[in-house]
Amino acid sequence: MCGHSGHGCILLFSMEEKDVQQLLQIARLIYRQRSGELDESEQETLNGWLAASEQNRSLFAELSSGQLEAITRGEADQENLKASIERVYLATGIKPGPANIYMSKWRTWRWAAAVLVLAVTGAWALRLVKQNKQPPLVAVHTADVAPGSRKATLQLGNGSTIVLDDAQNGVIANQGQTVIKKSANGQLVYDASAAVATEVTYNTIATPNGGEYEVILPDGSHVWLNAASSIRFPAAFTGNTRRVEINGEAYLEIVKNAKAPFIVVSGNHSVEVLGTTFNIHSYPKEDNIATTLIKGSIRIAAGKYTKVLQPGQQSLVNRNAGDIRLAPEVNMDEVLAWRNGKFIFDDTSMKTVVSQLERWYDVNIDYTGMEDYRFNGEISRNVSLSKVLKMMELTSNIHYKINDRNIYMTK
Amino acid sequence: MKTTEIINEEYYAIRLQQGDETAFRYIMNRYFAVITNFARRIVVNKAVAEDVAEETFIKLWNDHKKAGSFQSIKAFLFIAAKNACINELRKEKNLQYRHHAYAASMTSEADFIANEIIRAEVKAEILRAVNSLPEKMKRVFQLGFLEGLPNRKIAEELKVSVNTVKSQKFRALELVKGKLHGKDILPFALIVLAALHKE
Repeated sequence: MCGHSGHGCILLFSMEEKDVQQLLQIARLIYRQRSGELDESEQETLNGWLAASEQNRSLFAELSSGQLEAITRGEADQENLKASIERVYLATGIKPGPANIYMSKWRTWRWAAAVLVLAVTGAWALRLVKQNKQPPLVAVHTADVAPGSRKATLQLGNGSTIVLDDAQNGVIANQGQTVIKKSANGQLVYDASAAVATEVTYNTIATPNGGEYEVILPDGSHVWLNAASSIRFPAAFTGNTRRVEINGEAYLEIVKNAKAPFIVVSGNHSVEVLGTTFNIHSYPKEDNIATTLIKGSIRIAAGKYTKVLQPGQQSLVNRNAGDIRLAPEVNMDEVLAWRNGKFIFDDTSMKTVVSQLERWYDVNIDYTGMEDYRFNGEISRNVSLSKVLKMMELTSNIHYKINDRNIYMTK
Repeated sequence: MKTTEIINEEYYAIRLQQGDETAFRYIMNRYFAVITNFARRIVVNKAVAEDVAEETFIKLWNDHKKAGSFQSIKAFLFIAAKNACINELRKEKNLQYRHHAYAASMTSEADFIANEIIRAEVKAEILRAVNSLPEKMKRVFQLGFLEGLPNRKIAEELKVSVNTVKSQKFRALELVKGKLHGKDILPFALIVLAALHKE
């Protein structure tokens, strides 16, 4: 199936809840159209969807024409799925019983009183929303991309992989005497309190494009991974150094341990720390590795060069040359924007903007002919891609077109 | 004491989140066949489609603590079923989409899946409306709104007058509308309260 359309597959696997919710909304509009309940604004939304493609129009023709019996003929219903349904009850341990909830009358009145209060609040909130004059949800659907979210994979020492966004909370694996838990707020916690010096097992946590993740390492150090990034580390730090490898972008809060310095290796460069907070930006496709110190002190080493950074300083190490430079100016807000859930552009080059968007939204952006554009602005990164592009449109004379996961910029 | 059936589906969503088995049975009743039929249009085999649906609902129960709105439960079911279908197709390379020619006419597989989700959900909504009607009206509704027969034909089929069909259709529609939207005893805000009110 994946053979005859290249990018279709990617889309198929990345269909997210939001996309499906929009499909469900369309289904609801088609149903309301059938039963004659559609109001004007809903009709407009539906028309927008119909105008989007021939496929949409033919699906609508089929579902609204009343020939539904013909489509549903031969389909399974509750009756002939009895065995299958029983298997679900068996597996879940749920006993057969009523499928509707009943409530006593006086309790419903109690609810009703409270409901009134909320209805008033709701009406007020609705008015606020209407004032914003958002474009209809669905009109955007055919040409928009949802933002990234918390997701990553964990590769254990034995090579097996766990998808962390699917994993349930609680203990998800053991590595030697280290227990790996997923906390209620979605962090991954390495509890190595029982670990003794034995054979070292390495684990790798990697985020895809459009993912970010938070990990607490066996020594209690805290690491946030940005999109398309990874960290490789031992399940227990037992030697006299704590050594990890990072690719992509990460923000680290390292727990102080004078007896075991923490060393981050990335490309041809390493960062040695005692206890500190810093951001490392090291994507293999980019020429420079940028390490920004927020608190404490770190030593950067690249080949025969070393340099000690002061808080607020940023070192730039060229992947090929290996020399260490200090960035002339550092906008801390811009460096930490991703940790604060934002994009901040401060005279930022098109190339940098595009690579951030490509990683976070998992898209390809063609900006040929606009290489020397620069951008300023600040926007949440929890919004859909079109909102970010609109901001760029407002602050420059570029235009854009979204086609699945390909974005074309034009002047 | 007098009791009323809860129709607001958001209430069922909250109760599912709290681990209520009745709420799970409600969702099974409403979506098990829908998801099975959805899966069947993607994978060939009836037994495979049933496996997919079983897996999907077991996953829903295992993940019930994460349940949000009723709408997001639906989305969860479709996504889980879609993923399970794709896994099945991968497992057996010789399995083909049942409507392969139909799928190939789409610009991408994602469009095919998107269409199937819409199709399944429209059917689910219609089914829900029909099931909420009293027996007599159900037949008129089925003939009129599902099979699209003109009033005259329905009258012939059920051996009643055209006027009876008209009024039955009107009342059925009113009932469906009222039941499904707004006239429910417990409006939307119940959701919030129910969330606080665990039992």
